Amino acid sequence: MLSVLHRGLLPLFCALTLSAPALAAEPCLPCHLEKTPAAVKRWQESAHARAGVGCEGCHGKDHDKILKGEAKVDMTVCAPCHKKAFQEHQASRHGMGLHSGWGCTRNLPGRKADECRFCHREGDTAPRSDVQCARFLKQSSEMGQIGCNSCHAVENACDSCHSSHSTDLAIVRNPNVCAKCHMGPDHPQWEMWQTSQHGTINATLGRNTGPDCQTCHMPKGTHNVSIGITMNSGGIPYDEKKARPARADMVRICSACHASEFVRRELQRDDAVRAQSLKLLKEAEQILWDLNDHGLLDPMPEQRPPHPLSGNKLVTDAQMLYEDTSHIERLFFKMKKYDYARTVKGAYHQNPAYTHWYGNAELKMDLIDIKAEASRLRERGKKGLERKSSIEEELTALQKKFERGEISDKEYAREKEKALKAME
Amino acid sequence: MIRVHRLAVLLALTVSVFSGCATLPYSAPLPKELTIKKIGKVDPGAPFAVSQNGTVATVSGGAVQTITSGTETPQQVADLQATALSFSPSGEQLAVAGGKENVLRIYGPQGKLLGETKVRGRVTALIWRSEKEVLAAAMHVQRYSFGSELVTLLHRWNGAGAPATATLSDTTIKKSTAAWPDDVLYGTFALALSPYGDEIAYRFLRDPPLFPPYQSLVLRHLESGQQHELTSIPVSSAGPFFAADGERVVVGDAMATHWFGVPEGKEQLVIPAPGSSLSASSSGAYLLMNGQLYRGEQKIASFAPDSVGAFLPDGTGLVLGYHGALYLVSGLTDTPPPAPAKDREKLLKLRRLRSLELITNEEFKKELARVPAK
Repeated sequence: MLSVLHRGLLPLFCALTLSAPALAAEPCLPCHLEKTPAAVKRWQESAHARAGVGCEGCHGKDHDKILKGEAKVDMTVCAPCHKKAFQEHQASRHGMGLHSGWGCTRNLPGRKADECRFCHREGDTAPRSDVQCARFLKQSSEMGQIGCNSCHAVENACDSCHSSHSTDLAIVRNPNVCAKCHMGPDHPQWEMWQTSQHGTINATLGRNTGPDCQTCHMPKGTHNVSIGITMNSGGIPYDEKKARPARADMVRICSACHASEFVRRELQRDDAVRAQSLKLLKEAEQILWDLNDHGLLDPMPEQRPPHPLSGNKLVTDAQMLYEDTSHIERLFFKMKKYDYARTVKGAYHQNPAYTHWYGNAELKMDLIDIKAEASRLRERGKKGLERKSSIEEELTALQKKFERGEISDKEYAREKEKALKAME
Repeated sequence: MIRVHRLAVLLALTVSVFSGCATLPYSAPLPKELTIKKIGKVDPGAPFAVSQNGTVATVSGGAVQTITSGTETPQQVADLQATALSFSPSGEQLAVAGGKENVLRIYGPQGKLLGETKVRGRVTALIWRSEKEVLAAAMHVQRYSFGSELVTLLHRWNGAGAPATATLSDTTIKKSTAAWPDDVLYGTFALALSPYGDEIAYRFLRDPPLFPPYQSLVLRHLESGQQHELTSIPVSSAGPFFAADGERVVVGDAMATHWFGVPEGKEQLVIPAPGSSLSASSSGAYLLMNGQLYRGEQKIASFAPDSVGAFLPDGTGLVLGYHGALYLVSGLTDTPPPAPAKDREKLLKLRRLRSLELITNEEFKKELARVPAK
């Protein structure tokens, strides 16, 4: 009976479940079963197939475009059906591509014409992102594509995390999906989590006991991965107005497992680590600017290829480069982008080793290196010039310090008076 | 009755005297300490200059000539329609600019040509910075169908080779403004050199599309090129001239004459006399404003409103141009210049630091008080 029923219902079941996808993808399947079998298989297993969303639903009908790689399925294709996820994503740091990894390469030498599609849709002169990234603009086409845009494409591409044809949520619920970008020397959040107590419990007892990336950063499945974060992507704290509600969110998230008071204390401690580390970073940054003011960087910005966005100027903000700079700037790059980030993110991810040895200790040793290099440059400057810096140079340097907010107006006036008194 | 009769005779005499003197540059008796005599001719609207030793350079009959005191016959220097003339500080060299090709020449004693160059734009003013360097303010106007481009230039020339040129302003002016008479349009660019030779004050025309035209008065440090606007002034303005200490600048307009402090550009004094034609003595103590001769804020003589003047560098006299004739007014006693600073180098350094805005004016003054006078 059972087998009769089985034999009778199976074709009906198959007709109901497979006919929709087969119809949706009908014109493509005969060839693509042969040419891209993996893609077809993933799609056949997907929720899209079950819902009757076929190839043309996402890729369109222009086969030539698809062949040329011009029919990439970006977020605008997914958004009409996945409105909530799209809106949450747009509100998050992912939704702004972290404000980097982009920039117009049109006027750079040796570019490949098809790289325009990194940022532009076919026939659209307006870029998908108005962000310009100096480090991206220094890269070759190939390096820009794999090294920058493979991660920063998250701004516009759902398949950055979800993969192209499979809709299996197991993929995006695995922290490995985050690791593609959130690892390595600049922000190893994946490693930090993995080797923290949270990661260990997750590995041993499962995600219901040990939280993973998604537990804390995508609570209840939200696509806003920036919930609860109190600093920008460069680790600079938000102002109080912006930080307070974010902190409340994170306390609420952590309080699902911990006592709220414990959470607050932990996060306050991490805030303190961040503030102390930022102070070290600022100290180093001031040394760089002081050297620049006195013309002592080697080479000076005007003696090297111009910064893609700022020209022949010293840049120490989020657009700073690790190439075509002086040695001391390269040291500062490491200090800021790697060691400061590791200290701060290590603290918030409850990882003692990253906070201390990979982060804070390196940060402090960087400062020693920067000071030593600064001494060498100053010494060399003295020998080379064989003269005291002029009153004009001295006052110009002071003025720049004041304008950068490194000294108060009282200190500025006092230092100026001192310099003028010493004037021969 | 006798008294009335006497008065009538005196009045008749006065009227007859002054009606017969319609070409004289004054219409009321001069103070007794001042004397006036005719010394030569000048083409109407042409420039003239006075040297340290009293020699006057003028343009007469379309040629440049010099008039030396005690010599009756003027000496012909150049067959050139000059737009600007200036003697060097010693009076030994004469800079002349003009002609259709905008030439700039330097003549030595006895009218010997020492150097010649061509410059861009029509030269509107010449000032010697030292015996070795002359500054020429020049304006170039490029006319287009929609309006004109007006460029003001500063040429610095040492008498040999090409001058070093800096663009001071480059602005578009409306078609209606570009149609002003040449003497009005080119008269909107003039400059003065500070007594220390380190800064210039200049005014130039601005003509924003939706507003009436006006002028900007700008202070510029010659070596650093740092400059800032002191204030905006009406298009009818004349000047500028520096005071002897270099800390004030005077400009006049159709309504009044104003002293502005530098570097802030704050108005320090207003003399309620129109100064749209203005000249100042070396110290700034004497001003000739639309024919009114003032010492400080006190009027001491009245000349014809359309007379123009140039003070002798030593402050003892004034050369007036009026209706094609030149007159020498003697008997002035200009205020002696302030004692020069003992450490001139330090003073110049402080002025430079102030112009670069590395020190405030207050800090400048405080430091200046520490520089002893000679």
